[in-house]
Amino acid sequence: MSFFPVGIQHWLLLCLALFSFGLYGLLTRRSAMGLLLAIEIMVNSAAVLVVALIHLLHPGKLDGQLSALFFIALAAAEVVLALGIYVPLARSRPSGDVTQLNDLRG
Amino acid sequence: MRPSDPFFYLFALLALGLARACVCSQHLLRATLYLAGVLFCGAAFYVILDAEFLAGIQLLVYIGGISVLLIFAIMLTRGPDLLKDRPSPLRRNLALALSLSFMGLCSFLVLRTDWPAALPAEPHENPVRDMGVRLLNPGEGGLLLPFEVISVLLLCVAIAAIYLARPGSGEERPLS
Repeated sequence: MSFFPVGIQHWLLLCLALFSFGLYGLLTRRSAMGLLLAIEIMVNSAAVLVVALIHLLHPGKLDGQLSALFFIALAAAEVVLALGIYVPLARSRPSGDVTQLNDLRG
Repeated sequence: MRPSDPFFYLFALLALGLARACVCSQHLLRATLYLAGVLFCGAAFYVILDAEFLAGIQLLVYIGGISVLLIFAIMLTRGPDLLKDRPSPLRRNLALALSLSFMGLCSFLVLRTDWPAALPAEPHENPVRDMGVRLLNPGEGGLLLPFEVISVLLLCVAIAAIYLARPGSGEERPLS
């Protein structure tokens, strides 16, 4: 694999590396907000990968961009819902530590 | 070599460095700013991939909306332990081993697979109009149903967020 021209493998490796950073963050963070940041990195890398693959394998098609639009809408919905849960939770438990949230009664 | 190739490496290095800083930073506020940088690099990748409209959406929704929302949430709920998030060595090493093995396995598969050669890019005359037509087309190849489903989902999320965050929903319950 050479550095130029940039091909499918380059995009795949880049998105894999970004996804792995997100995975690392997801496994190490204890605060709910840190987890959310890691998930955002993972969703973003997946969206870039879909756009890159469709662009390189089926040029002229818009399916990748349309999928990425749905990705972005889903990520926005996820963040809003996560913050809706997190902000009232942080009032009763200021630490925001997800390892302490081990019951369902709030 | 295409003219966009050096920019790919530039933004790839920037994105990887910022992603590393985002997941390793102990200060959540700084981590959120690093995340905004990663998302900006994502917008740059979209421009490299000839998806300028998507890059604009990424800047508007992710950096203008989500990052600002996250920063507000962190500043509103600033707790004593929340600002410093330091994982234990065991947790850090386990996570490092798992993510590195995931990366190694997938890279091995990517490098071993015989991918078809990338086709030359075809300039699209009016991608935004075609995307709009696809999104509202109920016929073959149309995405009307997913579009409606995601609209209802966003409505449900807005109602749920208001329900969860309304005053008095959290404090009145006894703390266990």
